Amino acid sequence: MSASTNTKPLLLLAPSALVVMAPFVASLVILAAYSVDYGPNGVGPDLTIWRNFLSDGYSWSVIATSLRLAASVTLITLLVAYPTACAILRIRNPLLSAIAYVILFSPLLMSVVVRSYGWLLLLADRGFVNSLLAASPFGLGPYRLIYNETGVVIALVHILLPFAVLPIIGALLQIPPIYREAAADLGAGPAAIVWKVTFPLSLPGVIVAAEIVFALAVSAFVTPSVLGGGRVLVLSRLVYENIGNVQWGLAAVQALILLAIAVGALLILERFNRSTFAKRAG
Amino acid sequence: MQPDVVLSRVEKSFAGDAVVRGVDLAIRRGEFFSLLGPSGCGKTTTLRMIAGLEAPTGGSISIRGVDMAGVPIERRPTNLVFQKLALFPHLDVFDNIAFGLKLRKTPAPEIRRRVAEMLDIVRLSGFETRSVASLSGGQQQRVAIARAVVNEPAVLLLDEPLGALDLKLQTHLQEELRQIQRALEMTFVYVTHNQAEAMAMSDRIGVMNAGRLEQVGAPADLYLRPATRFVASFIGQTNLIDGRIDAIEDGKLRIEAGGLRFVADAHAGATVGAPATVSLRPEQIRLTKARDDGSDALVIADATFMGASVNYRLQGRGLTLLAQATGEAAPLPVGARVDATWLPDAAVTVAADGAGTAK
Repeated sequence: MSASTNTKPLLLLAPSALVVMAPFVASLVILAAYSVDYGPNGVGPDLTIWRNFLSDGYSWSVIATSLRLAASVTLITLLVAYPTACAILRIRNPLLSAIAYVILFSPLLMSVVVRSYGWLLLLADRGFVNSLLAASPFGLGPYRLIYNETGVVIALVHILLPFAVLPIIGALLQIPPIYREAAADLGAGPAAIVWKVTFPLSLPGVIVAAEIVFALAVSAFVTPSVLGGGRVLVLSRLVYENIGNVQWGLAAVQALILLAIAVGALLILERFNRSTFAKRAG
Repeated sequence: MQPDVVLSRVEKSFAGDAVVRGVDLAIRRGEFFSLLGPSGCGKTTTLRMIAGLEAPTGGSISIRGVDMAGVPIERRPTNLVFQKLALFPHLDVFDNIAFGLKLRKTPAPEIRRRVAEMLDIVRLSGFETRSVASLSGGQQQRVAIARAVVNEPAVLLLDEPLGALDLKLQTHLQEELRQIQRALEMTFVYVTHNQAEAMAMSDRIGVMNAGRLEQVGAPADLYLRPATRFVASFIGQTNLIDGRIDAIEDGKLRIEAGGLRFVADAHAGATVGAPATVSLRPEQIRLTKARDDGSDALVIADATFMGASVNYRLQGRGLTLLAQATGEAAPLPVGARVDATWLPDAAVTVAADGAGTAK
């Protein structure tokens, strides 16, 4: 193999690598520098900020909240997104299909602040949802749906749904119909076809969806702030507050931990992805 | 014995386009039956209707005496070997073959025993945990056959399963398929566009053209007594000569075409003076050097030496004839004037396409 066949793809990658990677690496370096630069006058470098943050029980409770929130948002979003993707693919009428996509993307058409305050109104103690529940034959509620994790999860699932539905639709479209025909021919009813063929073959799309949703949920800032009303403390919120308080070193530590969580989740999901399809690749 | 599969007046149209037109067919239990025809003739659609992947738009299909109308694919006593195999990429060889048995809640020890048995039959023992993607084309083919056969269907349907393989492997798997079919005494319905393949494997063949079943018969029947122009020319090579019925005597037709004379069995409705088409196989023609300089002799326009035989193209009397001679030391030269002769019963009359006598 000549050298040019090896270098060509690298050359082609160079522009995007420059645009994406250069600012990323640079900001990582700056963040790392801030995180070890102790005190307003730059006494460091040492690991004092890291040590202080990680030895504080409060820090860990915030990390736990961030993880719990992101994990439950990811799980619920996938559970809603998968049937949604199946349903959208079943729409034969092109007009209805287009309408379905518009509805699916509608959360993205609105500013995140407006949308969050919208949810605040809907989920308030005397809001639309609680009135509906109270008016129902079971006379339920009222439930506390705002200023706690429940409200944050509901609003995040709403905004992140399109990011999960799209990769799942892509994966489902890639499954040739002949596999479903073969399964039916071998005796599989509609439910067995979904469970034994369609779902396992669509897993790569589900994992991509989980990766995107988790990364976006764990770093979400506006939605947890508005719907949490200051009572749901997540890492991104701490970063914001500490920057406001000119605690840049602490903000850098928290930002790096946030990044580590997102990267860690990505690696775990990718590993799962590979092990699922190791058999396919042989 | 009661036939395994009965099609009566089966029709199928897609958006008004008739793909299968009034097919009547009875497939016997334990026979290797092939549906043969060019692409687009409706053979695959017919197979998919038997499998339950398509619903007929007219007529009925019954298997072992049970009408299949309204019986969904997963409850039919058939299994299909797909043209593109459709082995499940997320499952290994064992799980692919066990797929149908597991759905039927077969006990695990029995599944293991039957899968092992099948792997033995298709000679893939030891491949249980291999991924299907790691297998060669021929091995994948065997897994696809095993995955269908292991369910012991009443009828095994095969949709051009050997089409994608190279010729040597095709021939080899043809023999294997035939052996498996004989060993299991299972009814096979095999769809192919390859007449050599159909002739090599089948007990009987149904020849389809433009959605119609033109003729059903044993390979030798189809070759020696083709019912229609289409069957005569699709199976092997032939000369189709248009002529006129000169006389009818003792149940025989005397037909004259381009100054050549043929005798053929009379068919119903034959009348003197009516046009008739005769099929004469190239190997039935004997060539001898023309003795006189008569202007009505045939001339060799082309000769192709094939080793075991020589193929000639003859011209003259407004006709082009193909002739095949075997066991000759040296081919006759191009340009030679020859007389062509054949045995009295060598020719058969054939009907126009679509007017077959298939039952």
